[in-house]
Amino acid sequence: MNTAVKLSVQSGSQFAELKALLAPPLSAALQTLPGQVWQSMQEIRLRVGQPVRLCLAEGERTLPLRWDADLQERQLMLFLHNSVYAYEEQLRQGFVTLPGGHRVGLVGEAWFVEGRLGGFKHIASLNIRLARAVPGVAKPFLPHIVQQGRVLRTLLAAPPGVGKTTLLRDLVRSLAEGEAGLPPLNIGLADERMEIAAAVDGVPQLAVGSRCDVISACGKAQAVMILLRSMGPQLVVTDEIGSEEDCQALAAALNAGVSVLASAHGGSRAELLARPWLGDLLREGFFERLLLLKRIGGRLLPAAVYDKQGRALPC
Amino acid sequence: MLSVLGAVFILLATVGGFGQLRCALRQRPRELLDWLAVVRLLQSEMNYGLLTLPRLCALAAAQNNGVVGRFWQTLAQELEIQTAQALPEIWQRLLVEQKGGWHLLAADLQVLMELGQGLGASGLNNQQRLLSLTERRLQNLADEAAAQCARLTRLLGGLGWCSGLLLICLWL
Repeated sequence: MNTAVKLSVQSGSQFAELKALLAPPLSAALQTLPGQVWQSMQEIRLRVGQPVRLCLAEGERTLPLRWDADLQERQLMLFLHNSVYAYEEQLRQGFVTLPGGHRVGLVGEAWFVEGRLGGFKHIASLNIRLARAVPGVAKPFLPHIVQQGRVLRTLLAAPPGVGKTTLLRDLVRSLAEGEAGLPPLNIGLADERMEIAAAVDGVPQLAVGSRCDVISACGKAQAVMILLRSMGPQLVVTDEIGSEEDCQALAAALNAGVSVLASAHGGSRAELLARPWLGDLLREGFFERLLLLKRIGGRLLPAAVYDKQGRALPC
Repeated sequence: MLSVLGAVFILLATVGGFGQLRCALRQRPRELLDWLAVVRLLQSEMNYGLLTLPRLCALAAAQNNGVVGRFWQTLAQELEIQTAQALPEIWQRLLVEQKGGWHLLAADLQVLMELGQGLGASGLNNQQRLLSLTERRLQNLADEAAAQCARLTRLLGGLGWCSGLLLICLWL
């Protein structure tokens, strides 16, 4: 486990793109922070009427800047390049992906159009989640996933915030670049929430390898079927599976002879088994590997590994 | 001989002077038509391309010369850099800053100000409504300006000749 890479590794250019989009008062307040705060920063939370709060790997930090409604609107328009119409669909889903792969979650007063969520007005909270490309973080996990010259159908599971998406992204990159002891694979990536590749204008903002075809902002089930039909992938990757449609789409991948790499929220095998559709897939032995993740001191490590029969394997 | 040359000079001067006024008069309908073209470009590119405003500004600047093109070029540059000002404020400032370059009337500028207040600030349907309304208002203003221009240019043409002849008569 000595090869585990700390999650705080971050390239400076990713922050440069984000900093260019911050409202001047926030940018000025963040500039006063030492460099190591930026390195361990995970989220910037902007709530109207509250001080700006930073979520760091080591805990929370409050900035001496009170966030008001004007700043919120100004900040939002900067993120949207003054073009609400161009981000309407993303706004409806409650997030916007920024250049550099960072993601802004937003909530406020919901409004509906013909019974369907139309979006939010009076945006009360913004959560800027800093994207992390951590090349090498997948290395300790590859021996569990790649065996007998192929990628096993694998489910990665952990509670929110541990680093599932970061790991999934680096696994995709490693497998697409042939760093896993296998020839490079053509990978189909169903990135519904635009967190893995974080494509902006169709271009992945984070490293997912040169043999990866990405469908963004499309329901996972539909995206997986399109990938299988049109791109001929050797491996299909998606995150946060759980619904019946998701599980059916993964089963379709199995029928097409394509391996699957997916992630789901869950802290233990028992927790995953209790979930309606995902639990069935696990019981039926669909996943040849279940990897539970943990983070210790900024390092991402396997907490437990199970085979398709549910037997615990050595980590 | 000298008196003939003098008379010709007076006639040329008056006709030329009023000709300058006619040229200036023609600028307003031309600028309104340029704005109309930009509004139509925005409508189609927003609807079919979902291009962001900075890219739309760059497109509008590339497709227009003169004062309208300069306005969009400056706006594109201002939107590309981090600024403490919101779009409606930048828009208003640029319209006022370029006031010397416009041949537009207060009513024309009012329509443009109102366009700037809402541009980019809402979803696609509302943007289309805003642009359609602006297009109709600009079209009306352009029609009115063209009719006024045709009437006044004829009048100014006549005035150039008449005032020249009158001055020649007085001089002789």
